[in-house]
Amino acid sequence: MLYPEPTPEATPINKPATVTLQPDERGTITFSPKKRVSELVLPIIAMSKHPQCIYEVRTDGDAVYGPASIPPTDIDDLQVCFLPALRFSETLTVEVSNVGSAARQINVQPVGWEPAGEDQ
Amino acid sequence: MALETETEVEQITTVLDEQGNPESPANEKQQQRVAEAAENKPAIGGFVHTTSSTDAEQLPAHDVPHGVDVVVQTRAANADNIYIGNSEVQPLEVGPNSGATFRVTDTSALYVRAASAGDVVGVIFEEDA
Repeated sequence: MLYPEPTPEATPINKPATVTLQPDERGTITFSPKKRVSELVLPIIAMSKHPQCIYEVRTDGDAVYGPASIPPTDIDDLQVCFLPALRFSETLTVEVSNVGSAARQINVQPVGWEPAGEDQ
Repeated sequence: MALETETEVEQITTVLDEQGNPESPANEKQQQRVAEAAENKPAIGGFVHTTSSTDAEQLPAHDVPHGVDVVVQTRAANADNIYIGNSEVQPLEVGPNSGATFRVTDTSALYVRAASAGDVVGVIFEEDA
């Protein structure tokens, strides 16, 4: 279930990124639009789920998720996890801290859309 | 619409060892170990050792939990001093009806040497059930 739902004219967003974290490392991945927009809509932010990892999400500098020991949704589930969907215009920041003793590969996959008529 | 990504990896704040190498801060297991050492214990362990000579005698072995002091007390009726230490040297002179505490993991680390054979020490400590 999505809320809101995209129109057929909307532009899809699906931008995976990967970072490998050694023990006691924190990875910060910042997603930003290549062109200026008023708003992007994001109902899904999927990440690799590992024990002893801490997950946080910020949009335009504001904390919207975490810190938590689980991601908003697992990269294998890719479920809608924000109702209503997150909205941002400048930056989506994902921060993952590896506080365990094993190296972890973290995949991050934000999925959403740019509403029609937003490209400036 | 395309998204640009920028990735940064940094070290989470760590403590440094004496060589300046980063070490993990205390993790949950270490914190639990410290907490257990600070907590009271549910039971008391102990024994009496009667010296049979004037040579250094090893006390019987008993496990002692971390954070617990072992109390060694000399009997008031002892004839003379008892000296406490390790297998090599027993420098601590303890007169009758006196004592000392030691933080060891096993009471067998302690050696007593009586100036008068037959003198007695009592040993007591907290322990887990």
